Order: sequence, then structure tokens, then C-alpha cells
Amino acid sequence: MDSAIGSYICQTIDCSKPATLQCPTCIKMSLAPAYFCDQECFKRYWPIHKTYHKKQEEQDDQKNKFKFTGPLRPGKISARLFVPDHIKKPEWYLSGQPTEEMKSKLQQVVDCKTPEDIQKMRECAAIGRGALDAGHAAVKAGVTTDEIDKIVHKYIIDHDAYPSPLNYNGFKKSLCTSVNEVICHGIPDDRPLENGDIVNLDVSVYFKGFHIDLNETYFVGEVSESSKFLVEKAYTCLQKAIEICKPGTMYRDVGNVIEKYITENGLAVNRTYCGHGVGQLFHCAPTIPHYGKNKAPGFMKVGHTFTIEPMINQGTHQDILWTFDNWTAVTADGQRSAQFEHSILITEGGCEVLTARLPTSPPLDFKI
Amino acid sequence: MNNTNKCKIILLTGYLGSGKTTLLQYILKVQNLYQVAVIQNEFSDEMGIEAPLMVDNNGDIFDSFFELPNGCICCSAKGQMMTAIQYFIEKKPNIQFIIIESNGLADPSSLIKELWADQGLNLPAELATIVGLIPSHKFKTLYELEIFRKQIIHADLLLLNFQDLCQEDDIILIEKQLKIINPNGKLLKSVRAQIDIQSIFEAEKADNKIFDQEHIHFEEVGNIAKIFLNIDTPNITQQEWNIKIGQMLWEEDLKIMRIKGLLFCKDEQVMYSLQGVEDIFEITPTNLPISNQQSISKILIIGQKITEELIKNIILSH
Repeated sequence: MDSAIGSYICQTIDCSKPATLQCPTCIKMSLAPAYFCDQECFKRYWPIHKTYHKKQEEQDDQKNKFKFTGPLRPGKISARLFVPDHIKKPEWYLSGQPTEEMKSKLQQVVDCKTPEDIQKMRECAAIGRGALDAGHAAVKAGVTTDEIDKIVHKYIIDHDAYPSPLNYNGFKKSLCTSVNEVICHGIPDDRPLENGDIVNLDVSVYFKGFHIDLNETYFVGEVSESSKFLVEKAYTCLQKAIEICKPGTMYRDVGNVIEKYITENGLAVNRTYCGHGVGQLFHCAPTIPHYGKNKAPGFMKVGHTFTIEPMINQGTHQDILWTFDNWTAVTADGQRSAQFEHSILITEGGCEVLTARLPTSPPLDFKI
Repeated sequence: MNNTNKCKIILLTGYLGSGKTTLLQYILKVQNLYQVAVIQNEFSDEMGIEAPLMVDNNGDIFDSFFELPNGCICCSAKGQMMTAIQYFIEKKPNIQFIIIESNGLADPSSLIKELWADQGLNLPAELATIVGLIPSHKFKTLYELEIFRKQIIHADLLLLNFQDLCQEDDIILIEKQLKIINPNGKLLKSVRAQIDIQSIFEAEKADNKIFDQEHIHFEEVGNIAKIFLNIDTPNITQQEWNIKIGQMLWEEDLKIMRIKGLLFCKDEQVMYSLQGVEDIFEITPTNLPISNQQSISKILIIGQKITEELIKNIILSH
């Protein structure tokens, strides 16, 4: 299989062949190209593929009517990428629904990972870190978020792992890319990054039965002083939150630390999206609000694994959803938002940042 | 849960046939002072989300109620009901009260926890009053049911309905039993849910008379017990109280349904209020000064498997 960057895999769900033939209807409708390996596959997959044309039409209509809060506009989203057969897939790979995850008792109870669990999570985290670094290395003006998605996807499947977001509640891509006023859950598309943008890459990986979740925000070329300030504070508030992570700390105190630091710097903490437990499940207990004065239950204990991922806004803390894609969360005032995220393990002596940066990681754009 | 310009949420709890719907209809009929909206919440967690019926003063139904801009997000801090209420207030900013009728067959505690949203969320609505309706004539039978008792323990206002179907002696007995599992609730009596409705709209949240008591109580009904503690805590700081209450609610093999207290915190100028439902609690400053240089904290706990010794151990351990 030709797996060079930019090559496509046949859209037919159970086919893993390289593909060069394009769907003519997609071309005619000027949708993002959909590739197929041969006529046979195209014919077989047509009943499913054609619904995509209709969906795109409806979505375009909604997009035209939508009241955007900032300058960013959605681009075209390419078709779903394939994952080779030998890779162990989560329950939503075909169904799109995390049914078992929602029903699990781990939504109520926080479990303590065994040494074997932790070893697997470390391996998973190494793949996640490598994938994020690979994505980071590709960030520059002119590159589309779709291209970065393909790089991250390829890195993850080349390491025999599954990109957790892919088809999770129907999410179409392997990575979340949140540009400028996007707070989180941005969908990679064909918009080229521009000089002065900030972009967050949010990577999640499923490997040996465990998930890991991490993200970072990068500069594209030369960015404004206010954007630099925002991104740096978003980074620092996560570090401050990690400093209090140890056995006996109350989960509710994480938000107090973040809120205090962020408000002192004249910025705002998003309230809608929270840190979460991670492990056998992509999202589970505990829920960790990033804002102060919250009543989140529970103490941190040895073996707990969870994410902290504060989303920091320049202006209002409020968010709205791009209702035409039902994923992209943007700031209500169109000002920028930045985020950093780690998966954290509570240890006897404090905590281990499972997704920590490596000496080989491309450096961040500011002094840390 | 303090006085602000926020829209106030009034929650009606009570067993099937206790008169919740009658009370709702009565309120909508006779009141003309406030902008009121009503949510009839006949769905339970197990059933998933079904659109609850929502009507305003004029009886108009809002059926688009659950088309949320922020619905169903995996790590949202706000539950569905609170998101819905917030969305509703955006559409109808003049609403002063939202009355929610809870499911007559369900434990209301998860709904109460959801409505008791974090201060940090700065929501435009807040839970003001919980009204518990009691079908007095069926009290004896229903009191055997755990679910019935759970529906009563959270109420700020207890409405003894169907007075006309009871003897005076029965009422006295009911009052006595209610004092055990909800000593803090204010009692009102009614026939067909007809009461002075101002008592609902202007109910004072914090009726702290209970804390005037001096001695320690332990009482038990069925498997639900009540403990009232009066304890000297000169050396416990606010942060230490948070950890101790967290231990009580999260760590021990106790099942605390309701906790309420007035706490003395070391190095603070005022008394602190403790409020808790199951695993959720909050300790916030009051405007009550510390009385006579005393360092006494008072705590009321309602729950299962609780003993005075266990609770005291947690509070006094280092």
C-alpha cells in the first residue's frame, strides 16, 4: 500500500486498497474529493456514499444561514479515512455510538489502574505524543488541517493504534483541529492555515484497550502579542493545575487553581467542557471542571488517570456551537481561545504526566 | 442559594397522587404577580430524554424546548435540565419563577443535584425552594416506602395535603415523624393543595432554627437515620472542613442523603454554611458573626449506616 502523505485509501468501508478514482458527483457538486480503488468498490459503496451528497447539500444550506461569531468559516471536510483490519478498534468504529462507554459503571466510579494497565497506558501515551509531535511539525501557513489530520492518522495506524475520535459519535476525522476562535472539537478541513493563526491539535489514541488524550496550541508564523499572551497563559495554567495533582487532592480544587490564575491575567475559563477520566474508556468519571467554585466530588487517588484541559478565552467565557456540524465550539464573541491538555496518572509521590513532552518534541513557540 | 435577581427554580416533589399537578394548576390559576413557567418533568434518567411539557402563564406550550444548541455533549458540566432552563430563559428573559414537577415515582436527589448548579457557572437561574407534598391520608402506608421518605428529606416546605381526609391525631403523628427525617422543613397544611401561594414564592431558604438546639440527637426510622451534632471545633480550618466532609460523603461506607450545618472555621470572622446532597456539597460563608467567642459547629445528617461515633471520628481526627 502506498502510504505516502496525501495518498488516499478507498472510501469503501471494508477496503484498504490505495485509491485514485474520484466520485464524479462529488466533483460536480464541488465537494471534497472522495476516492475509490475501482468501479466494483464504488458500485458496492454507492448506496452509502450517495447519502453523503445529500447531507452536504443540507449542511451547505444551514451554513449559509448561520450567524458566525468571528471571522473563521468552515471549509470542506474530506471523506473518512480507513483503518487497517489488524488494528483493534473501539465499539464506535462502525456504529458511531459509544454505547457501552455510556452504560459503563466507570461513568460513576473512578477506578485505580493496575501496574499492567499503567504500562499499557504509557505505551499508548508514547504513540499519542509521537502523533501530536508529527502533527506539530507540519503546522505552517498554507497547510490545511485536513493534511495535518492525515499525518496524525497515518502516524497512529502505522503504530498499530486507532485514532479514538474517528467516528466517535460520528466525528469524521482522527484529530480535532481548533483554529483561532474555535474552543474545541474543530473538524479538520481544506482551509489552509494562515500566518497569524493559532491552532490547537487534539490527539487521542486507542491502543491495547486503553485511550490517551492530549493537545497543544501552536502559532502559525508570526502571531499577535495578544495571541502569544493567550497561548502562554493557557499553557501555564495547566502546569499550575498539574502541580496540585497528588493523592488526597480534591478534584474540585483543580478549577480553583486555574480560575484564579486566568482571571488574574484578565482572561476567561470556558465552563462547558471539562477534564475527564481516561483509560479503558475515552471519557469517564471523574468530570473535572476547569472553573472555580465547583462541587465536583472525589479525592485523587493512586492509580487514577484523567485529563486536565482548560480552554482559555480572550473575551467572554461563553461558547456557542456551529449547529450545522454539531461539533465545533466557538467563542460567543468571536475572540480567540487556546488550550493545552495532558493525561495524568496519580502516583504515590504526586503524579506522572503520561503525555509529557519529549526531548525530541518540536519546541513550543514560547519560553516554558 | 441566596437572594439575587436570578430566575428562581421551585421544585415540587412528592409521591404519586400527592397533589403536585393540582398544586401547579392552582398556582397558575390564582397567581398574577409573577412571570411563571412550568416544567412537568415526567421523565427519569433510566428512560432517557423525552421532551417534558412546558407551559407558561397563558397555558401556551413550548414544545421546541429540548432543541438545545448545546445538547448531549460528553463532558458537559451542566446537565440536560439546567441547559434546557438556561436556553429557555434566553428566549423568555422576563421569567421570574420556573416551577418543576418531579416524577412521582423517582428519587428526586439526582434532579436536585443537577438543579443545584455550581456557583462558578454563573447561571441565570438558581434552585430557590423545594416543596414536598404529602398525601396525609396515605401517610402511614407510604412512610414504609424508602422512595417516599427520600422524596421528603430534601424539602424546605412540607405541604400536608388532604387534611380533610385525616383525623387531628393522625396529623400530630405525621408531624412527629416528619420531624425525624426532615427536621428543617417548614410545615403547611392544605386541602386540595390550596394554600397561600405566597408561602411558596417567598419561602425563606435558610430556616436555621434547627441549629438553635443544644444537644445531640440520634433517631432512626426504617433504615433512615438522623444525627444532630453539636461539636466544639476550634482548630478546624475551612479547607480542613472541606476534606472532612469529603471523607464523610465520598470515602466512608456511609450513605448520606442530606447534610446541613453551621460551621465554625478557624481564623474566619463569620460562620460557614454547609449544604450537601449525597456526594455533592458546598461550604460557603454566611453573614452570621461568631457568637460569644464560641467555636461550636452544628451539623445535621440524614442517611443510612450513619452513627454518631463514626461521624465524630471523622470530624475530630487529624
